[in-house]
Amino acid sequence: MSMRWEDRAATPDRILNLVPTHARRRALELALPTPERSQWKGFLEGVLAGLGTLLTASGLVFFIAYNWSSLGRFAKFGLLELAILTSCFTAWRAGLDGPAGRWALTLGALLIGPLLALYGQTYQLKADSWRLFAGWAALMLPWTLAARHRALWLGCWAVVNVGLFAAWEGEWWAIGLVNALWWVAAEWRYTSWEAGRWTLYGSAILAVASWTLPAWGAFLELEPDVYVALTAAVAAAILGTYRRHRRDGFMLALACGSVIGCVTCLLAHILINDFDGVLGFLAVAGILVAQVSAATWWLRREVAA
Amino acid sequence: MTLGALREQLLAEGLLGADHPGWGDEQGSAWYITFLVGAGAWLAAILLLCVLGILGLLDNEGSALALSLTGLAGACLVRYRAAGEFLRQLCLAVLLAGEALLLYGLSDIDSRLVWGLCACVVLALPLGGFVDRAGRILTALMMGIVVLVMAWGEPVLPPDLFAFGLAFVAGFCWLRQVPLLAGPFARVQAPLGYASLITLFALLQLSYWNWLEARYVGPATTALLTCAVLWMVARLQRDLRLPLGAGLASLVAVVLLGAVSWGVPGLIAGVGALILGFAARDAVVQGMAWIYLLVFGTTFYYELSLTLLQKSLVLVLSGALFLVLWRMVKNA
Repeated sequence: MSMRWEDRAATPDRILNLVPTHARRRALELALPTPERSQWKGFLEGVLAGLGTLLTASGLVFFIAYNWSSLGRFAKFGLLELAILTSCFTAWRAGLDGPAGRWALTLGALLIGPLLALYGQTYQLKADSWRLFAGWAALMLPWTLAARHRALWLGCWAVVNVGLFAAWEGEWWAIGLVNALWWVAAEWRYTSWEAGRWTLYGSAILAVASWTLPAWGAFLELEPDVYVALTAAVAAAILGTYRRHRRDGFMLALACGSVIGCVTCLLAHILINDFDGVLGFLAVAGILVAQVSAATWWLRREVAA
Repeated sequence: MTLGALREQLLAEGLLGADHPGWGDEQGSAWYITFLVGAGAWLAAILLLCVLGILGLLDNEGSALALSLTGLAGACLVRYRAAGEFLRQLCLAVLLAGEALLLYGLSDIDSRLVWGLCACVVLALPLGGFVDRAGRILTALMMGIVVLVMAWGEPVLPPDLFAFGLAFVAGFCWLRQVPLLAGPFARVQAPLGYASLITLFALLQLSYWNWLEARYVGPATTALLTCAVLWMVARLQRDLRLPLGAGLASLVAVVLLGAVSWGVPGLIAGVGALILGFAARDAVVQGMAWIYLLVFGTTFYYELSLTLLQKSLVLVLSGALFLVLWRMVKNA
């Protein structure tokens, strides 16, 4: 990311590199202050609220699983819907600006999945499992947009991808495409959605990995493949977007890793097969080191720019 | 705090001269660059080892040991003066290959403890002496592998001692972060801190599930880790000057948590790591702690000798308890 040096975080590594020895201890004390009592309180509140939500949701899921056969269908629906309504009510009362309301809405969104599973089981819909996750994701999305909570964004993204893997196992191009669309949408609405950078990075990693790993296989076998074209396209798109419009070193590093892997696999096929084993391995090792060196030099220059 | 604000504060306190140059030439690497470099170095190291294997230089532990010592010393010395990126990455690859060869070269030693101690003594050279942070972190992880092998195979010392030792190293590195970083051990603080937590996690997982016939780490470890967390919480109470009631409540909570996690020491280890991570303001340590809690929390509930209904009630009651505690802390 393009950033003035004054705005960069004073991390321990930077302090060790920049601050003279006599001032180092004081600089570290300023940059790494011990948390105050109010900060510990806020931290403890967040941890307790998060763990409480997670454990309660898990308990309810197991409760449903246990009583699958013994409860009547209306009792089952009633319990789940009551839990969802309670979490919505809590979110409304607490408001969505604080952690309590956001975690309450998160719990409600997570309970949509068990409700759908119960519906499918009760009415013997015989639907494929991917339909459950697709429906869960579709219903969860408006809640996710409303909550603007990073944990819920991550959960929604995870549900979408579980559904994708259930529906399209082996169809990596499709899994990559959906994650790429999510990535583009999240980047476009980054500020208003408050999805957090990690959901975006997760979708980028999955999109790139879904296309790049099969491309590496294609290069190792020296067979033309659509994944090679997809990998080239996504690498070009990353370089174009994250150098010109929104500098992001992580994305550029992702593209570099993808390209380095492709080139290394191609050269491994040519050099190790066609040359003597020792020379082939040495050549591939040397070229790999050269690529990583070049990428490191370039990334440092881009990040510092 | 930003670099700009830090510089202003140091100037105001007279620790930097007014003519001290700006810090615009700072050359530190972002974590993803370190990761890319590390991954490339690992792969290159494996390829170099393949070359040595094809040449027949790995048939003999003695020649492997000689090659490893030469490689380690050479990589550290050359890297110290290396200006170009290619040479820097090559040194990292040679370092990793040398470390792998070292473990193989010392394998003639019958006693696991002696083998491990010799390996750790030699690995201390690149841990403190290698210029690249990536190299130091990878070296610390290699030391972690050595500790795991010692804990697994050493018949004399109980594995609980290794678990406590790793927790001690992690606690020391992160609670004494500022004095360590300001002193001669600045370069080893973070690598040892991260590696000790990762190794402890691996040790607790391996032993709990008895993977690879790992020896069991049980109640003794839980007791030792609970004492360590108690000491840490007591120290924080002293620093924060908490009222007596709050202080006692937190100590009682730790003891109860230790009792609950009697058979799954990873739980109390996760809580300790979370406290360490927040006290040290390190996001990576906090992330590791959450992984501990997720993995060992799942293990704890899975292993309860209860029916599914009873487990679900335990989970809901646990969740409700945490939410009540949250409310109490919020109103405190």
